Amino acid sequence: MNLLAVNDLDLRIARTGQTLLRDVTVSIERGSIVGLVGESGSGKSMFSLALMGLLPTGIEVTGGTAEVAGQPVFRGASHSYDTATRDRIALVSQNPRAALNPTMRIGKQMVRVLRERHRMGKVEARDEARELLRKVGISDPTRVERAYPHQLSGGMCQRVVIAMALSVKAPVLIADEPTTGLDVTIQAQILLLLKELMADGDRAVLMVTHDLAVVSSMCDQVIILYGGQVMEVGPTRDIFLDPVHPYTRFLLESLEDHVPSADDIGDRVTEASVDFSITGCRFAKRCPFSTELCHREPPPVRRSGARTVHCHHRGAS
Amino acid sequence: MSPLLEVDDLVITYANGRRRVSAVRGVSFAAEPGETIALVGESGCGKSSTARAVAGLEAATAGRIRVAGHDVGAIARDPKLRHLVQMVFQHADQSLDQTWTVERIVAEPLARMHRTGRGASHDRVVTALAEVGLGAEYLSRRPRDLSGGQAQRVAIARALITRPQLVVLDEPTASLDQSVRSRVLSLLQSLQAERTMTYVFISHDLASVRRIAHRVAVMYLGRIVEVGPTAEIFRDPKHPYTRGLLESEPRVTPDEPWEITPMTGETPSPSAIPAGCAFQGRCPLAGPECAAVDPPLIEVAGGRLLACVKKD
Repeated sequence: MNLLAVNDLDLRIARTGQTLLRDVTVSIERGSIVGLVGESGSGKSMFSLALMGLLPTGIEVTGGTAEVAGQPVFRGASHSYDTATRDRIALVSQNPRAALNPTMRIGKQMVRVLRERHRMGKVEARDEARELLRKVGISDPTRVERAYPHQLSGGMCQRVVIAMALSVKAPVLIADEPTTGLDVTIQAQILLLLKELMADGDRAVLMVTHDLAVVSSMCDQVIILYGGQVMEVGPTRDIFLDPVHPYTRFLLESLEDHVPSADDIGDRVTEASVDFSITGCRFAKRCPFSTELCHREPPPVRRSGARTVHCHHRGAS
Repeated sequence: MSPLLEVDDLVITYANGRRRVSAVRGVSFAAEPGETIALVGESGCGKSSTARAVAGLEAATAGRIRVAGHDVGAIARDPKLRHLVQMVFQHADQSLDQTWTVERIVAEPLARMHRTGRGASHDRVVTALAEVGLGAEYLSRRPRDLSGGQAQRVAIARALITRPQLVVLDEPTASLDQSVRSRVLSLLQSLQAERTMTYVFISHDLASVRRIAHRVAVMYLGRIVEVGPTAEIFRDPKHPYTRGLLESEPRVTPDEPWEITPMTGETPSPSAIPAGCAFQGRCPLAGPECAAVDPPLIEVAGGRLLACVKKD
């Protein structure tokens, strides 16, 4: 069963009518980790903000449906956000220090969340907080409980945020660039921790990132996003070994590990910023294979087994 | 051939209230003309302080830095020498003056060295932009009209317009998207090949380092713990920290599951460095002898230096 099911989600800037996300479909089964990958301007962060009901003023959901654990996220013709969704989604974001209250000791913040969310008593909440800190690999929870966020390292703050995300016991976890800005040895610790915590298979995890190496290490499925539009979806291994969409090919060719070949298209992809007003494929302006059709019509969705390619000219083979 | 850059026992200490924080604790390395040496390491390792000192932006507490035989202090003071060393910063979009046009930004180093009149300067700016792949239509644009990759190209054009012999690149691709990053690295490589410039490349991104650097110096808490040719360091890292660092990096390996045993613990604060080897608290090989001596960086094989008492 899909714990997260988003179908054809549209997001617009109300004032200009520009579509920031167009027909974005994401589904995640229980126990699965899916990577939502894109470069800046791809709309990947807008997607997670929409699911958390945290969209900036002036940006609104204008179409599509989303369900978390079978419950609709947006209601009615106005697609208004159902705040009850927040109990069903936990968020681990990029800047852990900003996610924590700088004026409150860690222990107190955690106890507060536990008491509000789970109606726990004081003592029960304190024990639970300590247990959660141990669970995320903090060996001296009493020291961390007494600390303010600024007294902890970035890696330690991220562990605390993960502990708080776990405390919500939500069926869906969104990890939005959870290790960006952390040192590489700390990143490895946090990624391994996330992997271990998810191993029980109770949740659906959406990993939002620009880092293809992180996706390759962590995710079962990948969704490649460009300019607010899905380009390609498939099992991680298949996408990395046999990318079909020209944008996916271009992206993978730019990896340092890529072995150049005669089929490379990288040199023929032009540089241009995303044009959110075009009706056709968002990548058409840069794509070496694009035709007049690509500029005019949104790409069809071509399905083959577990793979989906959104392109006029390329299908999954 | 004598090295273009010589860094000799560099020490940089900052005052933090009454406490002294040692950011760089005796770092020595050299680079040949046309060579790229990468300084890699995590936050607090001193790579950026070292880079800034090499560029003359940071005063050394002790030690000496020479570029083409001149002391960095003299280079900073003498307009005739200033062209020798240039720096490219991490956030191009923030390091460029937002109110200036691209033409003025790129021409500024020339103006500061009183070397050219306006007409000659215009032609040199056009040439410099062309070298980084930007056409003359960019002359009148301002930083806010540029993408991250274009802004970094402008920053590179600005650094190279003085024909420097040494360029310090401080995380030049860190804030760029993957596909843009690759193109900027290619640009830096081809410019270096054309002009035999020396690069000091600061990065935490090991994939970029592997691609662009000839030699790598790995830093930990203000010291170099290992130096060697890039291919050898990546194939056969000898210092336990280097090994841990390389193993921690996620790689795109669709056919092998990612299995790592991350290095335990975190880097201690630079104001509380343990006696002996600074890495002992996280080192899987640490023994009592590691607390006794801070190991010096010594040659263990041709071109390879290592600071570890546990070396085989």
